[in-house]
Amino acid sequence: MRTNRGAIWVSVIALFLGFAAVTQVRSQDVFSRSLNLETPASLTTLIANLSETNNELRNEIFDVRRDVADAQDSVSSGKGTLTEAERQVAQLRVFSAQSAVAGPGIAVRIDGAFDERALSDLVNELRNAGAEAIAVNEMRVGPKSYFTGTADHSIAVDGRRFADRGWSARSVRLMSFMSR
Amino acid sequence: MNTPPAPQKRRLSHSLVLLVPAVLFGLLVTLQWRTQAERSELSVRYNAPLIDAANALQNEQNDLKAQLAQLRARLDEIQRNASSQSGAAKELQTRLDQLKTSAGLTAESGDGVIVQLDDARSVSVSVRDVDKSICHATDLTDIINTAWKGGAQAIAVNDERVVNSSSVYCVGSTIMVNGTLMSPPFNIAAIGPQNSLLGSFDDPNQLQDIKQRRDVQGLGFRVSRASAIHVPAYSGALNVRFAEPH
Repeated sequence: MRTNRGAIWVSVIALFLGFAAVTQVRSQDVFSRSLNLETPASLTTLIANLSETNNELRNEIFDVRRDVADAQDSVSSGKGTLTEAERQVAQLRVFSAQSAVAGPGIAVRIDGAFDERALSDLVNELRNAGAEAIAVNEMRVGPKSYFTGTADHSIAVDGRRFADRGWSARSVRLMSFMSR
Repeated sequence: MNTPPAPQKRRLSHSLVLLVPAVLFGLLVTLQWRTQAERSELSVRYNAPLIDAANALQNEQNDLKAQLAQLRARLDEIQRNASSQSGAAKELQTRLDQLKTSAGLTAESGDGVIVQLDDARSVSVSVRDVDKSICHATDLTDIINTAWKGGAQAIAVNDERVVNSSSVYCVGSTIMVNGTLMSPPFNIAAIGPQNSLLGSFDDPNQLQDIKQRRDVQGLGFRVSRASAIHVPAYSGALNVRFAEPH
């Protein structure tokens, strides 16, 4: 009887191990999101995006380094840093959507079925492609803008509903990372 | 009268009891080994140099951001010292400070909510539902949208500040925010009026898709009150190159 009980225990353990092994396989296949599981094509796109972001950072570092040098010169020559501060104010007003802007870009017109999530997606894609300023039906999209659906199946931006049903999102500058 | 089984017959039955689990276990081990062998062979041949390159670029990006933050702080210091000289300069400095705050260039702290979003960790999901059990870029944009609607003053996703130019980008199953690589779990910190923020997240018309996937596929989604949340300053490039004040 003793050996028989031992065999049952071995079976139980083996079954448990088998279950654990399968669980492991599945959890690794399905739920691990590490870079290891990306295809070479996806990784190449990721690398292109990272390079683009790093290039932008390098350009900005170059600019701010020059600004620091200019500010130091102005201070030592007694001119003060007013001009530099004014330039920065103008830049930040554009960056935070507080001043009207003009520039090259694209216009998107949408006709047909469209909802607030689709509009949110579109704005996200435009930002992702490098849009510096975006307006939807002449309404500027700001850093804290949100999109909601209304009871009558229309869309509201920042709580303000649009009257017409044809949507056009206008953005200043669109440059795709991939097309370069 | 019962005769005890012959010792030989007993040994045979023991072997049979062990045979089934042994075969089963062998199969499972082989299955796992094969899956892993296939994957590592693929990733070694094609992916390893690409993964190394991506990681190197991300590390470089972290260094560049630190450099930029240092330079911005240096410029700020010079201007602050210079602005103490005249009234006009002081006024301009105040405007500049306000703009930096509203643009997301200063770190913020305060009360608000933390939203946790994660892939489903349970293994009971059928293969058909895998897509619904993992986080997508649109989940993050939907959550950010809901937080702004609830009156958030500052938002960060895994310590990346959400600013006017911020986007959530998805390649394969990897997500980028502000051009930075990220993987689940995501912590979305939103500073703002707590009741209004919670009301926005609890609104049954908001985030219907995420809530349904949480209930059915076990997607990780939790909203909780939090006090003294820290949201870092935006550390990326401003990139104002094409838009001119008009």
